[in-house]
Amino acid sequence: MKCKTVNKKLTAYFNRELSNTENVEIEKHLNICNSCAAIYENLKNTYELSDKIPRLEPNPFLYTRIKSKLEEYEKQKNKYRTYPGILQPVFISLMLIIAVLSGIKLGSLDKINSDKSLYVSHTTEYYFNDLAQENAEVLLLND
Amino acid sequence: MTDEQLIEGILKNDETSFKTLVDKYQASVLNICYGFVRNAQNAEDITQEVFIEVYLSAGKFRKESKISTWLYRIAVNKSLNFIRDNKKRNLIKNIENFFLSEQKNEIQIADENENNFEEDYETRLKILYKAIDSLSENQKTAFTLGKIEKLSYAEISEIMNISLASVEGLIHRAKKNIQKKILKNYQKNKDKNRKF
Repeated sequence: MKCKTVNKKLTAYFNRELSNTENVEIEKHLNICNSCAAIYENLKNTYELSDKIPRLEPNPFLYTRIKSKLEEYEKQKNKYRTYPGILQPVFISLMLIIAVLSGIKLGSLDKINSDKSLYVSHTTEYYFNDLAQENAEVLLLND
Repeated sequence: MTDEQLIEGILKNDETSFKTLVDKYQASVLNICYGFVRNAQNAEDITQEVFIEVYLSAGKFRKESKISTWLYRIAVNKSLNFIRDNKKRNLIKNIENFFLSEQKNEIQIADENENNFEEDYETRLKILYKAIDSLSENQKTAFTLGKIEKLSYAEISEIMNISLASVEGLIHRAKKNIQKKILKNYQKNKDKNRKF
């Protein structure tokens, strides 16, 4: 077996997924080829570390830190909750009053606007009439 | 105190119950987070966030599953979110570095140092972590939970909310991919040595 073929089958060999004959051939090759044997040893030793991954020791102050973060969170929460019983209804009723008043105001504006629109329509008529009269002026100018 | 009693205690604002829960699970949660983020400080920060969420949402805990399953699920989700955010941050950093020639040189030097291969424990661990980190999110989660916390396939399937067969498939593919990555690393190293 060539090095290239052995290298391709090394993971299968490591997981014992090959046939007996293939196993024997690879073993033979590993016995005579130092570089392939070294690669196989490295693969084996490195992968086997996954069963011995070092564990971290928890910080003895972890609980104290969590507790202080929770207290901070509660403080923040309470900040936004100052007088929630009084402020909320006052704010809502204020908004309602503003909404009603602005509605009335908008309604009265519409009346004024309707008068103005009449005026505007008259002025346009004037313009129209002006244009009609303009013919005579244009005639004079042409002369 | 059973886990259910601990949750009931937390719901009643009992500090001792919460402390007992933290003491019981802090090591497991910390190591799961570390298995994802590979940085002790970040892992501790995420662990704190996990327990804060547990305290604030203890009422949402469904008693059908184990408390550890719920805790580990929160830990996995928070760790994955951290990695996603970190990737975005790194992308911006890389773009910045692209325009800074000095920093670019530093990176090149670091890469050269990495090529000076030493077969010690730390190097092997680095190669293994690199291979695990190259896995997809699902494969990494299944593999990390199985290897670090030695959780059963049933527990992993409950945490990840997938079937047992899917867990088996994920762990099998993860194993294969890790081995391929490790092998590639050593083969590359062999080719480099040949050139010199």
